[in-house]
Amino acid sequence: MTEYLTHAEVYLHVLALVAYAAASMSAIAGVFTEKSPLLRWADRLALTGLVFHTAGLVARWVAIGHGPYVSRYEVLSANAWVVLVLYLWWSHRTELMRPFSVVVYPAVLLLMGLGVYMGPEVHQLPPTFSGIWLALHVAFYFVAFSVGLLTAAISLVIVADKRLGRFRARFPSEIALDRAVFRFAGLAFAFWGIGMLTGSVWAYYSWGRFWGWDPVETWSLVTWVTYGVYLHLRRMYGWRQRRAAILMLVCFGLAVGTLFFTSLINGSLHAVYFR
Amino acid sequence: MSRLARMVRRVNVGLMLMLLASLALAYAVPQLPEPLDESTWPALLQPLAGVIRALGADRVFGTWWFSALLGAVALGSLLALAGQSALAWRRAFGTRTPSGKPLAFSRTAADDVLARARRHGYLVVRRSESAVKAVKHPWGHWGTTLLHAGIVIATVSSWYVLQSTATGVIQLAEGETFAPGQPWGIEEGGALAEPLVLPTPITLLRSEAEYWPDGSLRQVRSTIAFGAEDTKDVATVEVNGSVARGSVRLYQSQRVGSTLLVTVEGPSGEERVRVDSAAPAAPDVPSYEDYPLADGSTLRLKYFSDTERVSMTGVPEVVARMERDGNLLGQETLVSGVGVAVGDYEVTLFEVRAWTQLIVVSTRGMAAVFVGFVVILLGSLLLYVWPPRELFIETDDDTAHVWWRAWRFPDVYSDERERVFGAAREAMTDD
Ligand code: HEM
Repeated sequence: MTEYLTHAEVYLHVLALVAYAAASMSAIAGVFTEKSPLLRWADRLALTGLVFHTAGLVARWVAIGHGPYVSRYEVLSANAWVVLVLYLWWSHRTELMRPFSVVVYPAVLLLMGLGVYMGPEVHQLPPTFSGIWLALHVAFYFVAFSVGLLTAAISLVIVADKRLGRFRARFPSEIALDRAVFRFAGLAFAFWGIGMLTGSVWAYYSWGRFWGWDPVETWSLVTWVTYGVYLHLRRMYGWRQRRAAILMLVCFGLAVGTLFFTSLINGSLHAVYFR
Repeated sequence: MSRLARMVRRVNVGLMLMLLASLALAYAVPQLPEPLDESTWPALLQPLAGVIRALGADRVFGTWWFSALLGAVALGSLLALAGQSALAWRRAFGTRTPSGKPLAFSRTAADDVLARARRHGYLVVRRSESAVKAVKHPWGHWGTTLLHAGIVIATVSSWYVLQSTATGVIQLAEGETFAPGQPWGIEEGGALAEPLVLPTPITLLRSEAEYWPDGSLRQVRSTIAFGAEDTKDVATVEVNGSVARGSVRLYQSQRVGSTLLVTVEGPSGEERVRVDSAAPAAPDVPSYEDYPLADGSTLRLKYFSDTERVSMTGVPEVVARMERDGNLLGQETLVSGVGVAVGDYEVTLFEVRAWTQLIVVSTRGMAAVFVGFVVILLGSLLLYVWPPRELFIETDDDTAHVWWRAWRFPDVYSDERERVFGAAREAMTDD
């Protein structure tokens, strides 16, 4: 059974990748040719990819006995999954998010592709990887990263603005986008904070210390405080639109650095994950 | 707004930027107890060593100025909190008629609107003869207040915990006892920490390590006896499963290995040697440990977890190698209980026991840290997930004036607003 699931996971993952690639092309073509049916097809393809992707994640989980949070392949794949689910949910709820498929689908594809590049080998769970606090810690960082990615996608359109030429008209007005960035930045800030909180509880149970200025912890705090700086500037110092959007891209850059690069630094406790 | 409050509003981002700068500094400069030797620092930093040491940039988190900065952030948040809570109070419980142009309805249509709002989760927070105030998520007004209160609690208590925590590490082989007052292997303590002392002696009865099939560590477990030799107080400590006694808590570290007890008989007599060899990284990879003998030569023990090289818990293989001044004197695989000739020496492996490390921690104030975190979290969620939306209805004889507002992110809730007004819009009077 385990062997069967391990094989099935590979096929499901590849099918998801193919569907996401098709969705990305369809979304890009839809925006550039201004043909709405292509955009609708992009959504359908992404949804199809999501079904394969979900099945693949479940198959792997059952086969190897732990969730997608140990190897980079798993983490990137799970992040891509959360990004897509959040995007589909939001674009279903609000008109505003819909045109962003052109950024989100390729981003999902990129995350999955990077995961495959890192190699799908199974890493066994280190002894500290257990308990509800770990699960919450990882889950909230996934959500924070995904909300951050959507926020960055919107910010990118604000920053690019006129350079998008006539395609700019496909996206909502700058004011509406700017307000959306503010709200999403707040959500990313909240979820990132919960990720840190649950991580520190977990660290306390595992090592007897809730905070150790480990590089990942330090950069995680830097990211959170930078989101805090953005929220202060937006709220009290009149930072809006382009200026605020650039800062938001910096915040997302820090988030990416914290989650995917600092853990590679020698001497980081988190380095254990990605040996 | 008072001058102080205005000043505090002005410095908040400045303080946060200073905090970010210190964190970046702590990342860029290797922090103690990392290598003291500047020659191992990045080349860019080496000429700046004097300044770095003078500023304490090599131990940022232990400097007075970092504590002062945290104090300033906490104080700033505390002062901001006063203004924020006053504002939240006014918004939550105030009865002033909102500014802005209301919509005018007949009274029955307005009742309809209120009923619909209540179905959408609006709670009536004020009702008088002539006015009703209904709010969805009325507690949302307290978002910023809670967030900054949480920052104050978490900052102050984290600082206290870091200063008052003492940590000691002990390494024990099975059967060994560590007595209160014995020196710790490694000891660290904050400025306010009391000396770390175990309440009773502890004896390691058994140390077990479990491995995954690929040889990576799965779990480490120690069975420990607390107290005198014939004690009944026996407990198990494992990774993610600590045990507390008195004011200290014991954590299982992931460091394990084998204690090799060996006698070495050489030209200048017999020497008893104890070597704590770390568990190898994999079944086919050895670990090495050197032991300097009294006569100037070195005994190097090479340890495989399994003679077959397939299991981390198989029959161990120990190879002894004698060296002097870099010259190899001899090398031989040891056999338990039997003297083996290695160069001019006879080496006998007479026992192999498991060893492990335990981390002993004494800490105070952790609960406050976690309370602070939970308050921060609650504040953030109130701010961005549950912002309040308010319906205010003022009635006179037969008309009702209705205000709707979302205190934050009104765009997001425009659909909700339409749902609340619903068909009542058609019953609008031309006021
Ligand atoms: C240095 C001390 C600080 C001061 C004086 C301060 C002050 C303030 C003030 C006056 C507000 C506006 C509240 C309102 O309009 O109701 C605010 C909002 C906020 N602050 Fe702070 N703050 C400080 C530290 C922090 C820190 C360390 C963080 C987190 C990293 C933070 C996160 C926020 C957030 C998320 C908001 C809400 C922004 C919004 O309206 O969406 N603050 N702060």
